[in-house]
Amino acid sequence: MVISRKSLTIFGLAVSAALFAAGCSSKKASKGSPDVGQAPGDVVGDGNAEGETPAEDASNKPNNKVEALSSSFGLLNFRQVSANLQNLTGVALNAPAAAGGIAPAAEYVRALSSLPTDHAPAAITAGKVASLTKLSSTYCDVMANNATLLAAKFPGLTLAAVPADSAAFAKTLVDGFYGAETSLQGPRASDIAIVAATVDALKGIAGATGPGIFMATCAGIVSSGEFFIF
Amino acid sequence: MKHFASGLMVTLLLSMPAFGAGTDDLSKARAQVEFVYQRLTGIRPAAADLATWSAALAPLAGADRTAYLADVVGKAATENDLFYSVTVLNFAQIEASEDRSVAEGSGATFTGVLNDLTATVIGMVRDEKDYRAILSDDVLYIPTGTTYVPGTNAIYDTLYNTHKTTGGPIASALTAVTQTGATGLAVQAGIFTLRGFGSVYYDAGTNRAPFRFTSMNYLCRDMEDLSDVSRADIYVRRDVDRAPGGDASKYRTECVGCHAGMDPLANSFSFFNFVPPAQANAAAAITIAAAPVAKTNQNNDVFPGGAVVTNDAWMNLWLEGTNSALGWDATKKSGTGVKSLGDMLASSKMFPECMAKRVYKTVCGLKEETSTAEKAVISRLAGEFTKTYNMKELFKDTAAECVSKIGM
Repeated sequence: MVISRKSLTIFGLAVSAALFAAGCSSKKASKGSPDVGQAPGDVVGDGNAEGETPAEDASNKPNNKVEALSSSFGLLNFRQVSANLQNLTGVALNAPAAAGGIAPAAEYVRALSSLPTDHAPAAITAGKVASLTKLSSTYCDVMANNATLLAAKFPGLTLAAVPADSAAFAKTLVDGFYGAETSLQGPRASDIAIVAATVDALKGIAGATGPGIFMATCAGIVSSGEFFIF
Repeated sequence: MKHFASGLMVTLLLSMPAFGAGTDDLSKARAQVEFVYQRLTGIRPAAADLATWSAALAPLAGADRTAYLADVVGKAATENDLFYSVTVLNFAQIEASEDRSVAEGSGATFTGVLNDLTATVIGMVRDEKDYRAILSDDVLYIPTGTTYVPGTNAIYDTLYNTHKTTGGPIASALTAVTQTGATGLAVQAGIFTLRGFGSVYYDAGTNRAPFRFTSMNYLCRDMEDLSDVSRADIYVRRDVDRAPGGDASKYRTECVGCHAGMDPLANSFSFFNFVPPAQANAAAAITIAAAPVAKTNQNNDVFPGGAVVTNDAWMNLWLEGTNSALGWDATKKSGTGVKSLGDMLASSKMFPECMAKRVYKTVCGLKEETSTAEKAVISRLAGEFTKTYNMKELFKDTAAECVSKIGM
């Protein structure tokens, strides 16, 4: 792999962060559940675009939102994260590392102290997200370099060269990992657009390879809020 | 760093599920199916199963919908080993440490996660046993094909390490046996006579800890929740200062509230002991003496006029006073040893309520302060649970009830 793992992990984090924020426009217009303390029709703003609610509205301050939502949603704990990553990628925890990479088991043991131990969303920290993304990258690295595993999850996808069509590549990965669309997901088109933009950026790195781009993109997707929050 | 964390909090919020993003019945059904399955296993269902179940669920409404989620989706989820190796293990593991934490064990071999306690919880859930037996019956689960060794956790470590590294199953790899003949102990009383419990709670101290943590884990009440200063203090032991810091009123208004009721109940554990091995990998088993072990009567010069523990008889003084309405079994006021104590605790109304609350917390996520609506759900689940005391059913029903959390 010509691109350094470090730079790819950074891109993985970027995708992860972007997907945490994905669907901002839809969230602004989405309804809150009555169970989480929001009246039907309440607008949840991100404070950054059209439809923004007044900044002085205390109900829209981040801490209040976290408090209101924390009884309804939780983070996967380390055990669930491990099971989920194995299920999503088909890579076993004891899979050998890809050439020049880190084995999932080694990274899992290393990351245990920083992965979530309980489900409280308020306990999220930058370190937890970074650890999750880094752990994800080890699974994705194995997958990117194992034709059998790759074909099982993405039949027909080849990584011999960098993806020519970033949008199509992004759609394949997002659809493959997200599965059938549910009413809990934001518009998928915006997620695909975010991933496609990141794939474009990855392609611009000198020495970018197909497996390298796949690994970073995969890590960003499987460590995003779609799979970290339940 | 502070600002970075705040920024992440906001991005977390923005990543919250978007209610109403897809509003057709099928996409709602998919969301509910995924929700129930993932809450029970930690993972999403296979695409084909998701399609099948969603299509069947979409036309249903009300109780039929909830029943389908529990009986079909929940049932399938509980047939997946991840239900046991992730969710039930999360549920059980908090009982195996005083900090009530969920952890992955020490080192790269994940030692100590699965033990006779957590394995027995998993096995009893798998086999749909009457869960009241967890505190009193001659029950034990061991890895199939192994021989139980009272002093070590090796057989369980081997199974869990295999599971973690190769993905092998846990639940189907466990076999039910009896403690008789396996543990070498004279008493067989559910988790109380298992090493996974004893190595944590019988180690040092005065053997009040096993009662306190049993109360926390099976009645969902810590000692301050049970404090009642109106109870007679005739059973409070000699190591409790009657005038801490020279203030006798502190004893009367605080200390006695817990000790008056706890000490006569904790006496049931007075014969038990566990001495950790001097070397980390050496063997050490719990022991049961024929008389109270010395530590139960230690520090006897603090208040020499206090109670002396002479046997393992217990008495429940909380049948009267402010705790009388908690749902104790009034027919079980006293007994001898941990087996009858466990039977008494499991026959209280607090036991099913606590199991429902803990399962709800494990499956649905629950803040310390529950809402009125959540309390009503937990009460309803506890009521259902008392019909069979089947924990697997409780897990399935709870996951189906949780669907209301996603606003559909």
